[in-house]
Amino acid sequence: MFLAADVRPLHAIKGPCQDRRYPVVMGDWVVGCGPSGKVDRAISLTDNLLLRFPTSADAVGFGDVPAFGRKGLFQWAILNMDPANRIVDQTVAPSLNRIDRIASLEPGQVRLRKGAKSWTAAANPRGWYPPALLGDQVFWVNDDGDGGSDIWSWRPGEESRPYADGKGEQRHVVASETHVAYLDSNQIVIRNAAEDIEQTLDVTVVDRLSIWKDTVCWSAWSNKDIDVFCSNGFQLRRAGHQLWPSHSEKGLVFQESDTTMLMIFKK
Amino acid sequence: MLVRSVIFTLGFLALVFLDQSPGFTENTLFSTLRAIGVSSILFMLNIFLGAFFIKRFYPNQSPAWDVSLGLGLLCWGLLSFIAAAFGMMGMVSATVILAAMGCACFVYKDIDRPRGPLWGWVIIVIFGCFALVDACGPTIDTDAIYFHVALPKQIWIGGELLVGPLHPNGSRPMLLHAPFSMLYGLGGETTPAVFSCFIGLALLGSILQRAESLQPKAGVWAIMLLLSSWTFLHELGIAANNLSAAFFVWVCWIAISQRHYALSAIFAGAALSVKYTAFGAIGALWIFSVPGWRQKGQTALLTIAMVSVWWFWNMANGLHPLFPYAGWALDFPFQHLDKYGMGRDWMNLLLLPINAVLHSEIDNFRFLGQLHPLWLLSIPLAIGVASKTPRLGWIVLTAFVFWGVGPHWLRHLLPASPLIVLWLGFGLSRLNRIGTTIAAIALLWGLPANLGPMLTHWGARSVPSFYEDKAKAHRYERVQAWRTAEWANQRLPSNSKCALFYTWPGLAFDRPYVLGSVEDHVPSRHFLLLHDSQFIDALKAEEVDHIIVGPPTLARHLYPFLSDSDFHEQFEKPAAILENGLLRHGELIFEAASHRVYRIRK
Repeated sequence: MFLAADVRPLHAIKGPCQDRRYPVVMGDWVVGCGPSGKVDRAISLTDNLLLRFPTSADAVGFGDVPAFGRKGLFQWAILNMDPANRIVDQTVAPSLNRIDRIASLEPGQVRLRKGAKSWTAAANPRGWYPPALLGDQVFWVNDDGDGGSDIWSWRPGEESRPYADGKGEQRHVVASETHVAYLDSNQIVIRNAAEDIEQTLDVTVVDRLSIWKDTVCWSAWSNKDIDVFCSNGFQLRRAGHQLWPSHSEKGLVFQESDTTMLMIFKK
Repeated sequence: MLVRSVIFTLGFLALVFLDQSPGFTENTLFSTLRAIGVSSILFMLNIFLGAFFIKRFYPNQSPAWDVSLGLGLLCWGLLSFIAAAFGMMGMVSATVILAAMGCACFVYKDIDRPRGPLWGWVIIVIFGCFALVDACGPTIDTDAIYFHVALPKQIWIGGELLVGPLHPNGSRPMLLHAPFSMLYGLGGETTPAVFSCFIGLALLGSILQRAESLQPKAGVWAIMLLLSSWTFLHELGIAANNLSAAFFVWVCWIAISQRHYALSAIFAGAALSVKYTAFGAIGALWIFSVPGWRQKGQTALLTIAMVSVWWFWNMANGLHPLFPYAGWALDFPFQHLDKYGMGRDWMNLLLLPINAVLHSEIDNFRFLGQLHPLWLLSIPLAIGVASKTPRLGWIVLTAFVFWGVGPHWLRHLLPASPLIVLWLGFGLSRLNRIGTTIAAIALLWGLPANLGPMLTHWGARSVPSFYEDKAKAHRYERVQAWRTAEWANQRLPSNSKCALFYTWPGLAFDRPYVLGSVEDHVPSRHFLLLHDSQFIDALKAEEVDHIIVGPPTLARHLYPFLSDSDFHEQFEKPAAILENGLLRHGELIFEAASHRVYRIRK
């Protein structure tokens, strides 16, 4: 359960970035951009340490840690762009990064990399939507060949398969260590690791979903403006529009009047 | 004759159909050769067609190749316009038009061949090779990707003309863009640029030939003034209409010189039907070169009758005759003249000839181009020989004054440039040996500033002209929205229709779209201000289901002449309307390089 603390602007991180999905929360960090609008910095939610890194022609990804590079993705921990450390050459969407795994979407395939090992499967990723990762299972938005999209999943050793398809548009898939959530037309669907549907919420999401453990947050219209709502009942109602929420157990970051705002959770 | 025509048509179609890659976007070597082949064949067919009619109207003289080309272009433009106006533009109508043009092949023996000093033609060919490489490269010029190739592509895809506030560029005179759609359909994306290049080279050749016949060395100086100026060289390598307008102005002058006033009126109408900015040069020719009020009246009526085709076409579609330059639903400035040049007060206007040559820059709004300093330095020489060509001097002055009234873009001076360089060339040709040497040194001195950027440009374009992967990378680098457009082509439903807000590259889309851009994103801003918060409903009424959004124009420093309230009303307010509407009714489904794709929520 989240309890709100004061909401304050996060001046070290400009908002929004050229890629409007940033800034985002990655674990204990808020990853975002500076005056250039390109994603090139991260600030710690623990001790306010500000780190800068080279701007990346490929997005730094989502998840727990950023990956970056100019031609392909390189792992954060390595911090140098030796071609030998390149994970993948070309992506069609930002990667999803855990401490020890990276899921990436490439033209015609999906890839999971753990350490030095890498597995791929045929796919038709729609692009722009990052994949999601629950354990070794990768989820992504797949183009259905008819201008629409479905959610597909795959884990090494298995064939890729539809995870959520049907008449409507399935997109914006996100995953935590225990749950998967996605949009199906105008519904948020939350499923557990056993793929059981735990919750469906009839709501028109304005921009995207954010997930941490079993809690999903999103922005939606409420009377005259846009506020942030979470599946555990938490609501952030403020004057003006609160957009592009991203959260972890540490806090919630969102955009308000072109300013990056931070709300630290108290337990 | 009929057999030749059939054989020619079949051979031509075989060439076209050898490679039917969908979308015509790949720029391989074969595609380049095809564009050159199609352009070459149509170039010759236009000469034959024009010569055919000249022999009918003037049976006692041999048709000149340049005048024939002008008349052929006019006929081809009208035939293409009629096909598109009736919604029949496509491979069948193109084949019929080609076959009809091919029937005139038999006149090739009667056409006066190009003449003039050989080394002048060699210079033209050398520069022409560089310009051709530029023209064969992937289309990246802004005017081409939103208008000169984008609109012909849409005409070819849909088979019909597009008009109205949702397609404002289609409401301009279509004498050039209807045949451009044929070029696009037959030869691919780069063919309009290659054909424009040929017209520009033909203009150079005609100036060389005609000027040299009047005064030795005048023709060579004239073409050197053009070829040493960035504005002209850059125009040679892109799909545009300035050089075509200049060509029609030039053949209009030729016709007047030969006292063929009816023909001159037709060419005048053609020039205005390609670009209204030719009005200064055409008007000046009419005032100073057409003798007698009766002759003036007849030529004016004929010219107006020709141009009125486009006015009636607009009126038949419920628009102001001069739309999109006038007649928007809101009281909306189409263009801010103060944004360009170096000011419009009396002193700046008096200094305009000096400023336009000495202070112009190619990469900002200060004249948007560059001319060789010799243009300015040779004015006294030209005035000095005014007694030899008195009316030409007044024509040049009048044309320049008209240019000064409009936006101070040097490329808008191109329609009048043949007359200007002819006048200047007369002056330079009268120099003695020492004077000629000094002028040649001056020519070389001014070359780096003009030729340097072009050599860099040609170098950057040379590889993409022949290698597909390089062409793609070149386009991604130079056209921000191209990746977004490609994604939309690949991923949106096949029957979807997009609205383009604050983004230029209509050419990138392989499907119908509305709005797009002209000037300062006038269609986007006007549409948003007109419909306000109901703009989504207005788009739905047009069956639009996706919106492509580029970065809106909000650079305050570009409009210092506007008050804060005017800037807010014209620029900030429509951008805010768009963002609020997208928040309420749109879902972001893709973004790349600051260009976003939204699905309109049902």
